[in-house]
Amino acid sequence: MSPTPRKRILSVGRMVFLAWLMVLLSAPAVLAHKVYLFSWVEGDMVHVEAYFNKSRKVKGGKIIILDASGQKLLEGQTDDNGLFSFKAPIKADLTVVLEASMGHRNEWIIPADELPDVGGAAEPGDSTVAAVDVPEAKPAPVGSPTKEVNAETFVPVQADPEQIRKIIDEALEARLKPLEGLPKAVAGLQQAVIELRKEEQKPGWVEIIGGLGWIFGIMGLAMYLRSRKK
Amino acid sequence: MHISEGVLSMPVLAAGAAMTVAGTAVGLKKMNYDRLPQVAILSAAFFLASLVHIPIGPASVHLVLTGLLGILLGWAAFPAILIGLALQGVLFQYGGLTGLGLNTLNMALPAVLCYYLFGPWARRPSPGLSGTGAFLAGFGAVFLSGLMVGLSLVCTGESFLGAAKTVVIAHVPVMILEGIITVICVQFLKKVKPEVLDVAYTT
Repeated sequence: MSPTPRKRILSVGRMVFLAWLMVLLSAPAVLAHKVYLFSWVEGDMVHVEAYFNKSRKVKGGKIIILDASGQKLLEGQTDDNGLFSFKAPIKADLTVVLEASMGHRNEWIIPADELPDVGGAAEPGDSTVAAVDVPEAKPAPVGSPTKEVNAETFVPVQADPEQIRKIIDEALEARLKPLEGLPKAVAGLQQAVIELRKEEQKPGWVEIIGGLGWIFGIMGLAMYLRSRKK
Repeated sequence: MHISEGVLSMPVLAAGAAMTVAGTAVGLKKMNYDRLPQVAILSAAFFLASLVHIPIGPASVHLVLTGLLGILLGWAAFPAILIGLALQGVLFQYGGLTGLGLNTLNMALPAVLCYYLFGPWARRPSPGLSGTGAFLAGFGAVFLSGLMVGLSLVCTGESFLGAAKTVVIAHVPVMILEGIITVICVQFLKKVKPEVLDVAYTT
């Protein structure tokens, strides 16, 4: 028995719908509720990370950096790990905008004081100029003094302790100069953590709405139970 | 006015809890269940009241609303305040759960007392009488709560007069503010939804 026209339309429609669903679901963005965007500063590089969840990163997501007035400063794309890095263009409040597929969008604001001084924005007495370039200070200071001693003051027989001390001092100063900003950076971090923990303790909107939900939920339950009794 | 965790000894907390259980049982039995949504709304108002800060001079106080709950709910103030305090404890960490019974008693019993003392006045049509009744209910509920907190603190070694005086004097601005707010609420209800006042929530 050949299917009626109506049955045929329904079966074709079903197949089209299933096909559409399969195509849609094969795109990971669909199953995500929101896209996460984080940004942080390391030295003079700004790093951006974008992901839907821990196992699904945003690949090839469009990144736009805006200044405080909304002017576009630079653009880029996230790599296969959802990362994108750029050199801080100016020391001012920056907005990082992420546009991922399927209409996902997010923003992150980097406050100016997290950024290193760039170009003419440096203040004279600012000791965080060199930022925290810790990874590069790897080589032990011990190596260089001996080199410098050999190059500058080749002492044939006995070394003048005063001279050696002076050379070591200079070498140490050169090595430790990049770390000058470290105490200030750590203090800033501590402050940020304390602020975060303080925020955690305040009653937030989530708790307020939750409490109201409970009250009316209990009310509803009580009303339902009483209506059953009758 | 929440007494924090660890201040009071177990016997006092247990006694408070027992009395709150009794009060809540009375409240649930006497409550008019047709009015349950409005009881829930007042419980929600109480829950939110502590978030409303009103600056008075250098300091700021928050609303309590036990007077209003008392004259509107009567004995049903016990379950309403119990649930409000329980949720504040769990969600905002205001006060602890061991002190829940005692803290409820300290707030709900004055509410019920104000229902009997000033409720009838607040219900009268004459604005002067009803305004006075409402003000006294708001003022009195906080005042009586202060006395009860003082009484609760007696077991920590303070004398009743000393503790009560401290608490009450500290709350005088709140008492006055609560009185005013209760008057405003009662007048508003009279104009907008007088049935809420006329019919008691408890039989």
